[in-house]
Amino acid sequence: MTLSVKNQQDMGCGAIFVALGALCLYLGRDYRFGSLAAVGPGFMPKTAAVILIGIGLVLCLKALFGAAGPKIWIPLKATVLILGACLLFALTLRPLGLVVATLLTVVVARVAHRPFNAWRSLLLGLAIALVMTALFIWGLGLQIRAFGPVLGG
Amino acid sequence: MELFANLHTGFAAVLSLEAIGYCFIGALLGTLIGVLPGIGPAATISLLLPFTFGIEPLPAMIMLAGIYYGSQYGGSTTAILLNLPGEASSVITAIDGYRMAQQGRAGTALAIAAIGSFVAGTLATLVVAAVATPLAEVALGFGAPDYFALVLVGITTCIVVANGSVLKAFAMVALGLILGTVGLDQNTGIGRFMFGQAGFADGLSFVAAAMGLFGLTEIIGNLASTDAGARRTHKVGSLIVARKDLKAATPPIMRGTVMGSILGILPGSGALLASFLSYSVEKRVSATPERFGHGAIEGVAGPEAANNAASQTSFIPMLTLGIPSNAVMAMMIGALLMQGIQPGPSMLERQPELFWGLIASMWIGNALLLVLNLPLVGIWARIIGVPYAILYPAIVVLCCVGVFAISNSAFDVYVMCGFALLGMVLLRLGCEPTPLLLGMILGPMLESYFIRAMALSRGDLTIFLSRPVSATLIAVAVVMVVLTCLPAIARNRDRVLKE
Repeated sequence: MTLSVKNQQDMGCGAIFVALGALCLYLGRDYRFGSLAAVGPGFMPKTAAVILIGIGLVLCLKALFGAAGPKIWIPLKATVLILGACLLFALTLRPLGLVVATLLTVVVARVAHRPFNAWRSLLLGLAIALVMTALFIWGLGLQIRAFGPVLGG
Repeated sequence: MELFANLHTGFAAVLSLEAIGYCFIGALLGTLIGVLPGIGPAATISLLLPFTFGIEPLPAMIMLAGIYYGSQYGGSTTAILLNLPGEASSVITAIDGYRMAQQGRAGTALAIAAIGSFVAGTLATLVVAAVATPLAEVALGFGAPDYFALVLVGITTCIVVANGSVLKAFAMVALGLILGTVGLDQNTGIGRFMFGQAGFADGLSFVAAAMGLFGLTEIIGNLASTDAGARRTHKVGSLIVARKDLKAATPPIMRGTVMGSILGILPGSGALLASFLSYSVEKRVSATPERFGHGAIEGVAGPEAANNAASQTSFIPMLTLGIPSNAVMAMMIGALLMQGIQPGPSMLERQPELFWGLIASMWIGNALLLVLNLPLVGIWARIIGVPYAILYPAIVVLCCVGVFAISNSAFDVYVMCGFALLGMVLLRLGCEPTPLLLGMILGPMLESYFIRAMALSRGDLTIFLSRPVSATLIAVAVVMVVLTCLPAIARNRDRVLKE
């Protein structure tokens, strides 16, 4: 009998839940479970992990024997670009300062949207950088430089 | 009567030009950010929290109240004008609200939403004022098992109203519970899942999680969908509400207020449950149910009233018990703690003017919104009309700076990205992020109360059933789960939630 995955969503979900639950059990293997009278630090995470694994297995079974479902589709490009933009921000904020970090973040984020116009994105980046500086540094007194040490700020 | 004396104390503390000014700014900012697509009340409040840090506790709370209502109203506005609900409970409003917008009746929908919310808010404020003191007194008698059961109910309501499969929602809560354990364990002092990173000591940043799970995931989703560029706002039209519309809207508003007031008190997603229930009830009670889904004013009036009433009464468990009903309340508690205020039964005794002042400012926030937003709705509509290509990079930067600003650490931005990735993948697989967030917030409480309860009973689980309060609450939770699983209700629920 060949089993085919009828429901990709449930399968993906189930697999991830089982994996995460197992990971949690592994990472937390040294945390003492304790007993009901003396609950240890491992009690909650391990119990939750077991529940997670259980549900994951049920979902996998549902995926094989249950009703069909939609296909999975992950927006790779948008994800990489947006998260990349945020990571870039985190990395460049202190060395380069708010203005440049914002500029870079905006430009990278804009690549995710077609059509990409470099000049417009730069302009938008500058505008947003100005607003952010006014709002957070002048307005709220955030402890960050507009232009960081690397740029001689 | 004591009720009016208390309210008097509250209003006296709050009716100063300065306080109203703060409320006004809060309401303005809250609506402004709340109206931006992809930023719902939780994200809005977390973004605007830094603004409240430099002020005294009472004005800060009042400003927060303004922000709170502003963000709710902003969410309703986008739901009606753009079919983009700002948060879960605006989903119901969008059903008939957006239809009305398409029929050129956006102004009426917005006006009724605002009026209904105001009426509901006023009545709910009275409920809060009436119930707060007795409840706080009862709460003083609550023990750990009772608090545990209360939090359990909170988690259960969240699972029950989650979009999609109950099984997956349950799993998301479990995952949230696990993530909630990251950090230094309160009870034993050991670090759990910290990987040697000091940044994890206080646990995963709630704000970072909210931004990642809701804000960034939304943006990624929008960019990936094919019509991300074209976001047409429908003309707002006249805001003047026809008499027959007002007449038609009044009974749903009344019913919605009652439902919302009661359901909001329960920890958990009371507001969502209330608006969902209100919609079902209005449809059932209407003489012409086939109009629902095609622009029935009752489908906007009832749920909006229920939503706002529940939002108001959800302050009750937060203020009297110190338990957040939902993600937004958790932020409010965080903000209050930053101000050195510990919400709970003791707050009523020790700082009554703060307590009643907050309740009074809730009403003022409500009133200001009505006065403020109806005339300004044209501006909000224009903001929504700004091309998404300009808005979304601004939102991304706002999220990054906002998260950084809360703890002055870039570490949390990384945490936010992690949550965004997790949220995005799980969303594509059919899992809702809200139960995850709530699991993260309520998890530590659940654990702590459980440990204390077990310490009390020396490991005897029947303590939960032998105490009347916890036994009742646990029964409520069980009944809710069973009802949701029953095929008849499951089908009904899926049908309404899928719309």
